[in-house]
Amino acid sequence: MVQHHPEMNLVLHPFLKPLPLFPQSASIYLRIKRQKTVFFVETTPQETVLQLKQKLFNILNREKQVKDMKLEVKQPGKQATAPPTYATLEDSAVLETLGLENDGELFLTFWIPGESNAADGKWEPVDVPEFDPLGDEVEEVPDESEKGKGKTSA
Amino acid sequence: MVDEPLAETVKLISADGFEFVIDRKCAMASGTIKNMLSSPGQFTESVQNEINFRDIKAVILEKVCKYLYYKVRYTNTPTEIPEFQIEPEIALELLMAADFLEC
Repeated sequence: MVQHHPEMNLVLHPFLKPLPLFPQSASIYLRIKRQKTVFFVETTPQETVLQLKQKLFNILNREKQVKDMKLEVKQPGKQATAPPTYATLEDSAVLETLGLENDGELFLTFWIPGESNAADGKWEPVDVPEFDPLGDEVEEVPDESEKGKGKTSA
Repeated sequence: MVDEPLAETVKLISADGFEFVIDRKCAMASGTIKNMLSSPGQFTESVQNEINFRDIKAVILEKVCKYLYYKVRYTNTPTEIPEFQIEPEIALELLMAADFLEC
């Protein structure tokens, strides 16, 4: 039923209610890479970096403690030719605030405890190889010119 | 302190040695993987939750994993489903992998 508001010249519809633009728990996944392994971890934009580490703790069969994990984002180098740098994420940071969206990529590194003193170690470097390119499966044809093979006649 | 249940994940290994760890429920969205993981008997796959794909390269396998998440996320939801983008250069190998994996 359409009502006419007497004072303001407005037509009010009873079914117009503000709808939330995005559901609060929109499930997303992130790809977390370490060396040759890619972990697909389901999460929501409202979760924190610490919660991600707790999920990884479970995925890794509880073999690596949360405190021994570091999550980093890759940032492109300052110039086009410069190598990318990695920024460490704080445990309390919220994924949405970090600009992480569905299919985002993160890098995981572990703490390597020192030989004699466990507290005296270091973080392993980010070392994720690129995927091999698909390639065209065409084998390189060896050079047939035989330069320098001494076949030229005197 | 950690009250999350132990994650149920499976590991898919590509021809070039990359490992993809994904949720079991997403892996099951592939008919072939589901059969491999549920086969009765003590096969390596069903015991260790790991499958080696000697014919699928990492680039392709990663795209397959992304698709499995996409499929589980949008199956049976009324929301508008975004298009799943596929780069043309991987389309052919992806097609062959999808055919093999029944997904």
